[in-house]
Amino acid sequence: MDDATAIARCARGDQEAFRCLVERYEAQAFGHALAITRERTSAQDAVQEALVDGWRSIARFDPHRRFYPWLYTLVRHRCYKALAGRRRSWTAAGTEPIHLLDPASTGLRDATLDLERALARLEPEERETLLLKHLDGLSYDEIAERIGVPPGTVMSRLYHIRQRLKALLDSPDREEGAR
Amino acid sequence: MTKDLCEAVRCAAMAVRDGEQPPLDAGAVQRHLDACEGCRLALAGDEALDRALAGVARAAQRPDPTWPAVARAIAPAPEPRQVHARDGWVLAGGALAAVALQVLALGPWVGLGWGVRPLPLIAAAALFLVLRANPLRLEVAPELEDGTP
Repeated sequence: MDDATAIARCARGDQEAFRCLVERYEAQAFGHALAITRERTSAQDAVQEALVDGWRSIARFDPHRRFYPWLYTLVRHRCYKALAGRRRSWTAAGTEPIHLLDPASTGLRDATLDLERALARLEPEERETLLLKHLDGLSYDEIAERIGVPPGTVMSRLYHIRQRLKALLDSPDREEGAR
Repeated sequence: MTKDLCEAVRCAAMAVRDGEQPPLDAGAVQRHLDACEGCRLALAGDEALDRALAGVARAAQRPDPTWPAVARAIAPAPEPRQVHARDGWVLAGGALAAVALQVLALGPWVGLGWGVRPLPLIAAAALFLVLRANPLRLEVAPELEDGTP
């Protein structure tokens, strides 16, 4: 069943059609939620809540849009809500190490680990934007749609995020002290 | 060279590497780079970072199956308990009979004594059962969760 058919059936209350969409996109959404929260439980909860939000508002979904970018906005909304709640309650992120990058994807394992550590120290919004560009290969326009800012802002943000990432990779301790 | 111009040129060079439309024209960027060693060095570092980022992929992370929790959350709320018309009439009839007996008991001509004393209680219980069955189909609208788009 393709997305358009599934969405039309969901709008008529067909839960089996929604199950198809859930199973098709849950892993992708989970990967994106992890990039923001860096915590497995929060990411899992955010995806579940976003999917429930999606079901409740799918009747208003614009069929001319693609489904996943729409779901992504719901997922990120839930992720940032969870992060805000964590900040309010002074709860530390989970200690379980989350690997956002596949160590086997490059021959330079140490370089990948350095990159992983530097990514972990970016702000969630910075990490999200950078990974949408470099891991998902999205254009500025597509990133702008996902995070709700103009494409020019995406370009400017990406520039500053890369500068910060470069500084973290060059001298991580000094960067930490400067913040 | 001004800092703002250097930053604009580096940003434009990044946009070109990303395959996007740069905010400055290519000629202006090149002329600046020819004259600014700081920007040439910075761009070499930026390109190295891009190569490092281009060589990595997202780690495969499988969530626990999401559907069971989602299915529970989106399951339709149970229908309000239906009252059958016949049950309603029986209960209403019982309540009316109890009230009628109570009225009769007020008169001096019927000495029902202990037989009628529990009748107000029975009438109240019957009325409660009728109302609890919600024959008027009164419902409370569910509250929408904050933030749901």
